[in-house]
Amino acid sequence: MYGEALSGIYCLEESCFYNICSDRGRRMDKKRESISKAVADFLEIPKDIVLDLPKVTIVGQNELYLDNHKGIIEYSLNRLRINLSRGFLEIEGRGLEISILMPDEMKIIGEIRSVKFLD
Amino acid sequence: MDKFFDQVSGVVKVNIKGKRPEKVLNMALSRGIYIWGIKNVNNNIECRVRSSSIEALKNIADEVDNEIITISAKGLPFWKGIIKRRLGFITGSLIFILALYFLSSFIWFVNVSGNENVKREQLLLTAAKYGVYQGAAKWSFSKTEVEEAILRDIDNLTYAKLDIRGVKANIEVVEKVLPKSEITGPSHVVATKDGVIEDVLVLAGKANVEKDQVVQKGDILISGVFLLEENPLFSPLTADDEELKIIEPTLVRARGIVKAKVWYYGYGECQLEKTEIKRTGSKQTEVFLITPKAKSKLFRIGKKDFTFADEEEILREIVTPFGKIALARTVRFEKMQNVKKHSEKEALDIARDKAISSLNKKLKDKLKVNTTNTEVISAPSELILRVKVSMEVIEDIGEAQPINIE
Repeated sequence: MYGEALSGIYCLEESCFYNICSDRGRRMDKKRESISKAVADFLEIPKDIVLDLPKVTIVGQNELYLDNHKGIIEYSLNRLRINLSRGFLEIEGRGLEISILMPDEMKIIGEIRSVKFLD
Repeated sequence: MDKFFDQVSGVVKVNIKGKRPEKVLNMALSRGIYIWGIKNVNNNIECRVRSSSIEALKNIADEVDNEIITISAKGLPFWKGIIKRRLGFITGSLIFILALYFLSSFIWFVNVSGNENVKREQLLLTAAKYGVYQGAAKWSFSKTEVEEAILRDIDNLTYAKLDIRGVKANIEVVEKVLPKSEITGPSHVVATKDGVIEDVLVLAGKANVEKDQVVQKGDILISGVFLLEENPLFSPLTADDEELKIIEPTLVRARGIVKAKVWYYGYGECQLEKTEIKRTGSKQTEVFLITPKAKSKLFRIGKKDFTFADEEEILREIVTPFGKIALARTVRFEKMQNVKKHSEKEALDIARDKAISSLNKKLKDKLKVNTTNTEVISAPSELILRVKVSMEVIEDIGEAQPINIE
């Protein structure tokens, strides 16, 4: 299932695909991430900018704003999976709709039941 | 604002049909196509895109074996057909709006308010001299300059304001109120009216009249010229001061209140048998458009044609470069003849009322009326009853008049 999902990302960021799949790449990534984290901590810069981390804002039960996403993996009325720089975000609910979709951010409306971070 | 731009650029609602529609969305995203309103309808994705990016989206869909079906299209680019079909109408309305805008930048009416002694024509002429006249363009004059020029050219004004509301220019002025010139030199107090003196109060000068004396207009009431009486306490003049004995008269500005009985007369009449013409209340209105070439009837309200009627015409004119254009409204009021008979007593009352009301206009309610006397002056054989009403009033009849010393 994830293989299918990953094929969705394949066209979006080819290089990223290889990074995730190879062990060497994964180690390099972790190293880079820990350095960036240390720099961000030292310079007190927001981590979502330095580490390209997702930023989720939920307004009530019906609105969700997501910054720094990497594309949609799966979309149905009850479930929405969104690719992130590391892992993906799973939103479950009812009557979900993507009201705005832009390269870096999106707005999701509908009845949100749960938001999960998955590796 | 976004919605406005969406309307201008055109919005297309599409349905993405295929195995993995998410793939299409991600590819579109990476190519910078703005997508919104994504909705899952029967396992197909429905979304909105700008009309400019619909071709790119179709290409992407083709690449990943998906199909794009257009559901609806909105916005300016899709109105081409309508615009082509309704070209005349659209051009007409555009011309109309432009004409309205153009014509509203001229002054069509000039009003003057606040003037009493200064003539309306003079004000209009002065304003026209500085650019405010019927048909003048609003941009051709400066409001403050015209206001200043009006104040400069007409001496009797203390304030002028030019108010422009739409196509109307209103010139509002306030006139100067000058204090009355007071007589400072020696003067008499003279009678302004004929009358019988009732009371004299002298503040300066010497009284020339006394109570119950009959005076005529112009008579001196309080004299400003008099000889000083010899003061018994003053030492008598010696023989050497003989020259000084020629005593010069004293001149003063006479002041005082001289109250006198004055009579005012009023006249009233009433016909014993009178043919009255009254309006019945029904009317007919016709509206005409008058151009320099022709007068054409626009419409008519009220169907009756009256045999006996009053006609009133209200004209509204606009001076245009093509000549005068006017809108005339003619109102016809139906009239009826009515013969009315009065008894002698009724006629007397009516005539007296008329006389008294005409008298009250003269008196302006300022004076206290002492007695009122009514006298019938018509002969009994006459068909008309004439009445003369006299009112006795007590008022101050004095007025200062300078003495000519030469």
